[in-house]
Amino acid sequence: MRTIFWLSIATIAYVYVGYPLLLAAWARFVRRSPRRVPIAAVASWPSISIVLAARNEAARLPARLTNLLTIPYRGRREVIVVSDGSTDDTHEVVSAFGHAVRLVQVPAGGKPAALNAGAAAATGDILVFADARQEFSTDALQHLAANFADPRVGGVTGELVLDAEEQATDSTVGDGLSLYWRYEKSLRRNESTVWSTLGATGAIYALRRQLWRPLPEGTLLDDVLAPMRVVLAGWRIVFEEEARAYDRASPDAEAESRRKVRTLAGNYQILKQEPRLLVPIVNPVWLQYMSHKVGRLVVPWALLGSLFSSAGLMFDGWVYACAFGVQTLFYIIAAYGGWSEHRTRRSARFSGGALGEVTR
Amino acid sequence: MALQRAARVAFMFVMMNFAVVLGLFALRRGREVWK
Repeated sequence: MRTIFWLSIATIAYVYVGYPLLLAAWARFVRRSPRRVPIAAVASWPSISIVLAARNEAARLPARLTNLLTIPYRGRREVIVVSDGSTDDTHEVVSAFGHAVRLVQVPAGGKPAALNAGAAAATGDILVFADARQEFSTDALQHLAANFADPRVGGVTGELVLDAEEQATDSTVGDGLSLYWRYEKSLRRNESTVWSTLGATGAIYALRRQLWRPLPEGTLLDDVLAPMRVVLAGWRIVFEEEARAYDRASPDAEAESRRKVRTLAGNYQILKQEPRLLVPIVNPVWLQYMSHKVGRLVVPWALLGSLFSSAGLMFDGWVYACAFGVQTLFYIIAAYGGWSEHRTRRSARFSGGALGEVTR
Repeated sequence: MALQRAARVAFMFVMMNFAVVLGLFALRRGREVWK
């Protein structure tokens, strides 16, 4: 019982505190920044193919495509929209852009199949992946592309900026999301400096086209699997903070929970799809992957382990009694947070509030 | 206000960890989820 308690505490502490500190020190020591060329000094820009998978996105596409076509990029660019069995006006909306946007139609088969079709149709040196919902910052494409001047860089992930981070949201989970997202980004920044990030942000990332391998059917996290395959092949995926995509936070806990379940199911799935990630010699970012990604899968079980073991040991010493008390208090506070979130959501519904509407 | 904010952050933390457990069981349904 004592072993379970201390092992659980050590796991939680390492994943959330020890690893970030170790990584920060490592990043400071190594400082392996990509040999990125300043935008003004780039002599020849690679050609890019922007691939956007969409299903029934007729309402969002006009603004999105205008954004992708008008932000500056000095090299050749093509925009490919893959319609994944859309049944609304998606095809008409895309056709209205004429030759500026290529439409690829595929039967409804899910995002991985749509991305495979988009990548197969692409002709640019660099594939840039985007979603219909977000908006890119003005220089996003140029900042992404400038990193490919470094021959070790196989991919670049941009930064997803949530409205919750700018305190400009109606989301009832904005506080927690903002904190979590800032914490995640600091890990990503340091992992990039050490060697490579452990995936990318689906809303904005780029890969060399030559490194693209078709995604297996049913892949949940294309933005982790595709970049990690590039990393396993010996390339770097770097984090470019100047390339931004703007999005809104999940409107409430229910929506965020659905998103999280999907992400975490994807993390299990990737271990099955790419077991090489678990092999130290094969995976160049093995320690980071085990500490960050696998660690997150282990922590919930460690939380349960520490709670039940401290309950069983609470009469064996003040340390265990304190640990049990602190955990109980934490869960009571969390339950209050859940109740408060639920109440806010319900009152917003009754008053016709605009939960989830962007207020930025 | 500060307590409410801390409570919501704590709730998010618990929810995220619960999602790991649910994610394990949801894997079979994964293909139906469109991102």
